[in-house]
Amino acid sequence: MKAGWTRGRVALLVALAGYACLAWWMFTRKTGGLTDSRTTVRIAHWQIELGPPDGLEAVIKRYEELNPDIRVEQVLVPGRIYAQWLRTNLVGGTGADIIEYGHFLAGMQDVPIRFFEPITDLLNEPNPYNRGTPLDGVPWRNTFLDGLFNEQIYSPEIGQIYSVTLCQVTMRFFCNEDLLREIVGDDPDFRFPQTFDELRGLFARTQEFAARTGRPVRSLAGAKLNAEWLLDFMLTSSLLAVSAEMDREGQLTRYQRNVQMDYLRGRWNYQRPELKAALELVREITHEMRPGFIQLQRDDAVREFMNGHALFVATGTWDATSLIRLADFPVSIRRFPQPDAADPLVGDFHYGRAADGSGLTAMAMYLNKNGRNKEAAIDFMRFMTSVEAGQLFMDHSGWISSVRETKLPEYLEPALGLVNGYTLGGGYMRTGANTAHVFIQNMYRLVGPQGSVENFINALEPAMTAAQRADLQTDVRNLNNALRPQDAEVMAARALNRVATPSAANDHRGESLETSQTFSELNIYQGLTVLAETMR
Amino acid sequence: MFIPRSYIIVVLLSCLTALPAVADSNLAEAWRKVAGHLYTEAGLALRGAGESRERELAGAVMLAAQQPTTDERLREVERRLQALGEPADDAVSAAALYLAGRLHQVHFSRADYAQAARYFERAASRFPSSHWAQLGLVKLAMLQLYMLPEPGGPKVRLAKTDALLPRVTIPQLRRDLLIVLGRTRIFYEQPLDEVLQDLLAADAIGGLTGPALGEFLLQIAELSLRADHLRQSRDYFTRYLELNTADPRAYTANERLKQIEARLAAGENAS
Repeated sequence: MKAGWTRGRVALLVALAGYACLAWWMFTRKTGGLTDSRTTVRIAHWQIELGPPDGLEAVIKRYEELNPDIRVEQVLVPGRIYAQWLRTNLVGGTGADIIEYGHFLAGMQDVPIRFFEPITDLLNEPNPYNRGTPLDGVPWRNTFLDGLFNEQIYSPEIGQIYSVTLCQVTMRFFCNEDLLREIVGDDPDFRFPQTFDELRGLFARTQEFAARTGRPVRSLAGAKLNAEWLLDFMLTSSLLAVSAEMDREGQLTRYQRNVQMDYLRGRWNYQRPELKAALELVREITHEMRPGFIQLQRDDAVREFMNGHALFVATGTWDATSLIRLADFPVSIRRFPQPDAADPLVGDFHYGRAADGSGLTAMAMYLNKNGRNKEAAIDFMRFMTSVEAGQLFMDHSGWISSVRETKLPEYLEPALGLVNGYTLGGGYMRTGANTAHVFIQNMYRLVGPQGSVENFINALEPAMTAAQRADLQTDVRNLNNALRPQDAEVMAARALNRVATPSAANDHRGESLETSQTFSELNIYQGLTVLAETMR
Repeated sequence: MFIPRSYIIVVLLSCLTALPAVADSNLAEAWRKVAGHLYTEAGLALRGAGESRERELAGAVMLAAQQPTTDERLREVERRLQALGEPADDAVSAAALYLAGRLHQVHFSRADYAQAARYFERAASRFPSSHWAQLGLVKLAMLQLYMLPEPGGPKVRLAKTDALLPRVTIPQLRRDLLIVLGRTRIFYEQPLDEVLQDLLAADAIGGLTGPALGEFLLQIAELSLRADHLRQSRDYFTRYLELNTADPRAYTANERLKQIEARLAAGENAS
C-alpha cells in the first residue's frame, strides 16, 4: 500500500513538473504567451520565396526595437491557396491587419471595397518615420519611386489609394559576361548596345560565334513567359506614337478599358502600319530564341542561361539575386536597348524614348478595415515604407525597395527602373484574359521559320473583336461589383452625421465615395455604350 | 440599510430618460458596422435601437446589402423604401427615394434605368436642395448622357444634361457633374474648348484631392496644350508637377513644359 502511495506521489509530482514546464513555456516563449501583453499586428503575404520574408523580418525586428509595446507577426501563405485563404479569413473576421492583395487575383474584385480601408488622406501627409531623412516633410505618396502609380491605376475606388508597396520590379536583360567576352573577343571598339540596331549587331555576332565554334549558343534564353514580357515591352515602347494618338482623354496613359473601347470603335487594329512594323520587330527578337520556346517554362529559360547556352535572359529583377549568386560566371544587369528614330523597321514611327522597366512598384499591402489594431497597423505600414525600413528590406531580401532615397547595392543599380522616358500606356498584347489568350494562342503564326506578320494578323484580327468585347464586359462587370457595396457605406457615412455627433471624417468619407462612384459609373456607362454601339 | 422610496423613483426615472440615448447609440453603432460592411453585427446593434424612421432606413440598407443578393429581396427593400420615401418630408425620405433609384440603377440583376430616373426625378422635385436629391440628379445626368433612349443623339443628350446643371447647387456634386460633362464631351468628340470650359469650371469649385486631383490637372494641362492654350497648359502642368513628383507621367509632363516654353519663347501668341 505504501509503495502504491509513493508511486501515486511520484506520478503527481511528474504531472505537476510537466504542468510547470508547460506553463513556463507558455509564459515565456517569444511568440505569444499570456505574459505577452504587446499589441500584435499581423501582416500576411504570398511572397514566400527566398528574400522577401527575410527582408520583412529585418524590418519587423527594427520596428519592435523602436516600439517595444508592439509585436509584428509575418503570416506567410502560399500563392496557390492565397485567394481562398484571404476570403475565408476576411469573411470570418480573422484577417490579418495588413494584407497583400493584387488586382489580378481572379474573382476577388469585391474584396478591397468590402474589407480594406482607403489610406489616401494618410498618404497626403508626410511619413513621420522619414524625419531627418531627405524625405522629411514629403507627402508619403511621393516617397515611393512611382508615387504609387499602379495603386492609383488599379484602385478599386477611383481617386482613392488603398495600399502601399514594398518593392520595385523591372524587366532587364541579365547578361553572361564571360560569354559576351568570348563572342566579342578583344574588340576594342565594342561597347554594350545602346540602340536596338546595335543590339542587332550583337545578335549577328552571337550567331556567327555559334556557327564558328559549333557551340549551341543563342542570344536570348527562350521561354513563353520571358518572351511575353520582352514582347510586351517592345510593343509598348515602339508604339508610343499610337498610344499618344489614342489618348483623346489627355490622361497621358491608357487604361485597359480605353484600349478596348478604341479597338471596338475601330480606332486601332493590327493592320495599322505602326503595328505591323512593331510585330515585325517582335518576330525579329524571337528569332534569337531557341525553336519551340513557346512550349517552354520560365525555369527552362533560366536553365538555358545558367548552362551558358544563352547570352541573355530577359526577366524581372526578382530573379536578380538568385541569378547572380547561383551562376558560375559573372552576371551583369543590362537595360533593353530601344529602337530609335534611325531604326530601319520602326524608326519612321518613333515618338521618343520609353521609360524602360516601367519603374513601377509592387508587393502592395492593404489595411484591413476591420483589423483589431488598426492604429498600430498604420504605424507599421508607415515604418515599413520609410527610408530606414526600405533599406533594411532591400539589404536583407535582395529586392529593390519601393522607397526613394534608399541606397542600392552596386550590382542592382542597373536594375533600378528610371522614369527617363515616356510612359503612355500599352495594351497591344493584352487588355485582359481573353485578348491575352487570343494573342498568345496565335503567336506561333508570328514566330519561327514559317511564321509571318501577315499570317499572324490574318488569324488574330477575326478573333480579336470578340476578345476585346469580352474583356471590356469583364472590366464593366468588375467596376459594377466594386460599386454596389459602396452604396451602403455612402448611406452609413451620411446617416452617422444625422444620428450621432456629426464629424468631418464622415462627411469626407461620404464625399470621396460619392465622387469615386460617379467617376466609376462614368466608365461603366462609356463601356456599355461602346458595347451597344459595336454589337454585331 | 434604508433607502427612501423617493430616491429609488428618481433613479428609475433617470434611467428611463436615458433609454432613447441608448437606443440612439445602438442605431449609430449599427450604421458604424454598416460602414465597415459588417452586416451581421450591424443587425445585432439595430435590434437594440428604438423604433424610428432612421431605424427603418438602416434596416432597408442592411437588407439590400445582404449576400447573396436576390431580386426578390431587393423588391422587398424597394417596398420599404417607397413607404419611407412618400409620407414625410425629412432626410430619411430623400435618402429612401435616392436608394430606391440606386436599386434599379445598379443593384437589381437587370438594371431599369427609366425606373431609376423616375425615382431620382421624384427626389429632386420633392426635396430640391437635399443632398440625396442632388446626388440623384448627378446619377440622372449620367443616365441621360449614356443609358436612357435618346433618338436625338449626343448633342441632345448633352443639352439635356446642361439643363440639369443649374439644379445641382451643392459644390462637390456640381463639380463632379461638370467633370462628367467634360469627359462625356470628349467621349462624344465635341470641341476641346467646350470640354475645357466644363473642366475649368469644376476646377474653380475645387475640393478634389490625391490621385483624382492629379489626373484632373493633367487632363486640363494636356487638353489645353492640344487646344493651343499654352499658358493655361503651362499653369496646369506646373500645378500637376508640384503635387506629383514621383508619378511616371511626370517625365511626359516635364517634356511638355519644355515644348511649351520653347513655343512661348518663339513668340507663339497663345492664351
